[in-house]
Amino acid sequence: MSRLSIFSVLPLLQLVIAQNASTILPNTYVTTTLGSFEISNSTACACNHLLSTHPSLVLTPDSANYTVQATDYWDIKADLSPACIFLPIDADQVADAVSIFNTCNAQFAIRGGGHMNVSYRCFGLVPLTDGNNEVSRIQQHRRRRPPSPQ
Amino acid sequence: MKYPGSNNIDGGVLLALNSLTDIEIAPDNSTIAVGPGNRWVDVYAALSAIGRYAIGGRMKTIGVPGLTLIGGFHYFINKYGFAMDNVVSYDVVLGNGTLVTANATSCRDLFWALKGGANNFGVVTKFIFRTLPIPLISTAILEYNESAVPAFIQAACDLVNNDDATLGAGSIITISYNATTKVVSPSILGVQEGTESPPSRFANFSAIGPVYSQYNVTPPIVWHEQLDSPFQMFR
Repeated sequence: MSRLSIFSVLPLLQLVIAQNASTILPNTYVTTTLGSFEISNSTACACNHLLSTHPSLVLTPDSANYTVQATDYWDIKADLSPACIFLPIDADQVADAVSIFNTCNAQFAIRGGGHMNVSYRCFGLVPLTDGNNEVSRIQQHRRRRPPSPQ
Repeated sequence: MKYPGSNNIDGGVLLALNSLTDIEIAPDNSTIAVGPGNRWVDVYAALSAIGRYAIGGRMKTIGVPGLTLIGGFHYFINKYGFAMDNVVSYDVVLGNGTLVTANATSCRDLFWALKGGANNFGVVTKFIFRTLPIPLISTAILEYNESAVPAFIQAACDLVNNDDATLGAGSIITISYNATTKVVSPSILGVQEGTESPPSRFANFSAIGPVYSQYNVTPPIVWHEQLDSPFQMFR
């Protein structure tokens, strides 16, 4: 019985060690190799929700692959320092993430597979539709930082 | 995507869709479903296996979602429209976390809005593109010296006036100036659907007398694969 419980716990321990992502504390100041930022309550809310629901798919600044992912851009000017990076593997997980952003009112950015060549203005988008699928409201939270010269 | 801050964030959450790399060709080969983690070279490679093509990025590393959501230039837009015009369906996560399908019969206003609507209306988790029966393309790489500039510009104007939709053809036309050597160099990368070589739409350019010319008939993937554009450079 005791052996069984050890075997059932081991994979979980390995998972926790492998992902090396830790809880995000709000109102703390974080410095990474890519820059510094303060973690807002809403960002901490979203990152910690993602960490609890999809622990193996979240990278935080102390994760081994954080820098690789945060700099996987065509244009070096797009290298910023997110508080956490979520890497979903299916559409349902994308939907989960957007629900969490909505709940936490968190700012986020979306990256696909390709490249872009302008940076430094961050949008958190909360597009909503009504029951008839008409686009009824778009909230846009823009950060105050001005765009950099291209 | 080509506008400020659309793809990364300081101190917020980065939703990175790199892992959504599914590609699936419909049983009748008429469409291809593509996850947003793919680059266009992945799509062209998949279609190459069945002798078909799609309207998307011109260079190897261009990603599928950014280009498609803001329009999407391709060589053959004169005949087939932009990349966005070739999307027949989108799977989209809305702001409230619901996953919907937007196409000609479902969520039609969203289907309309996503054709140029960028990332303002949701997160696209799947694009379905129509495919085209274009197994081979005819290409021209032509370079000129400075004395050809007036004729080169005239040929470019003629192409704009005469590139009608009966034949898919388009080009990247450049006149570069080397500040060190003070040399002006016109050049064109021309691509035309089919096997006619040299490609007829660029006959006015061929007639100028390039100092370098290379004509090829290849599967589209061969052309796109050589147009690499490395990541992590200052642009």
